[in-house]
Amino acid sequence: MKNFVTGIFVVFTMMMASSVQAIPTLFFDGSINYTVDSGELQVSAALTETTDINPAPELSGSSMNFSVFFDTVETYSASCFFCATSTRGSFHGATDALINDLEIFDGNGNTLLTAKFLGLSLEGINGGTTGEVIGLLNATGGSLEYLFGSSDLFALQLGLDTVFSNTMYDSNFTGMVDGNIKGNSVPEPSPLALLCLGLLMVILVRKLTV
Amino acid sequence: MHIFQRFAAVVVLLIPCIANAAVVRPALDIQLFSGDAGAWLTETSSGAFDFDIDATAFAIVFDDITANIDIPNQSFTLHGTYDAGANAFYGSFNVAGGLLSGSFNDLTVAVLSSGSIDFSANLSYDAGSLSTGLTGGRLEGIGNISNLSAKLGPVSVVPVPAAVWLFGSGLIALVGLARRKA
Repeated sequence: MKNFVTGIFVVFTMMMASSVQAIPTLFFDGSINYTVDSGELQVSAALTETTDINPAPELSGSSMNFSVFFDTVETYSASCFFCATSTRGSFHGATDALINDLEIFDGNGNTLLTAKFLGLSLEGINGGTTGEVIGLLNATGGSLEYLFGSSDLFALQLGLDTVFSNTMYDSNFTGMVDGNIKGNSVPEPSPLALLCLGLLMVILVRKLTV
Repeated sequence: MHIFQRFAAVVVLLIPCIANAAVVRPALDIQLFSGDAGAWLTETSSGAFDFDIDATAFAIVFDDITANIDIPNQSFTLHGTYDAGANAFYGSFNVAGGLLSGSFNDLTVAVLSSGSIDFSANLSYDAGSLSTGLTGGRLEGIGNISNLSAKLGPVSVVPVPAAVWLFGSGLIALVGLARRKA
């Protein structure tokens, strides 16, 4: 009976330990610029932090640049208590498969990540100057490609020199952008390793004391 | 002449309004880290709502993005209660580590079609090392329970990096050990 309970406890603890996930993330901060003639939305930023990436890349002097092209604009409205009328612009990456839409370099000039955008949208409350940037990426190269195979981009767009409306893409605008790119979640190995080490110690101590 | 004076007065009055309309840098960069709960709205009873944020402040950012300052990660929490009469939330916020705390009474939230919540408020700073010489600032952000990005500014003091504190405490320990040996 005692062994049965101990067995269940061990299996449960191992399951708990192995469920800890690490999500490699790159945080960035920079500026956004839309040009009506080309329909191009460009972001120039620097990395401000990374998590769950070892070794951590050099952030000082790092750069992140991407560009996408305007597709459509739509207005949304809903009837919930705090719902507001918003405008969402949809963008696509370069049609040439060989041209990367996104490039990230560390402070030493090494390529951390190159990627193609599967899609990107920009949405904000009508009349406001803040909005949300959501993108889906497919990594194509760089030293972190294995961590960011299929990844998500999320950013706050603020301080726009225009306001969100269905005519905002009829003229140029600029603003600031601040967000992150989250990679594929991978199991965190250290809790499991620590648990195994602890179990080995317990077994060793019991054998020595018997 | 009167027209010119009136125009000048209107411009002078508008300047603080414009400055109030956006986060002024340097600002705290706040985002969702692993283990943070994000931003969410709760209907506590019919027509009564709470708004909460649980995220992490991790850097001070400047207009010149190359001058950003990395700070030790600190928990950022905010709790607001909806005032139906004012159609706004009032409440308080805190950046752990004694960095900054304060209150607000005009927080507005709006839900996007994606489900993310757009939020902004003018803040009163009560305490904290980042509030020195400042009476208040502004918070702007967007987020949900799985992602969040926000800016809080302006902040005024460059905090001493954790490494300096560790180095300093190590030095003090060494001096203490040397004295005990002597």
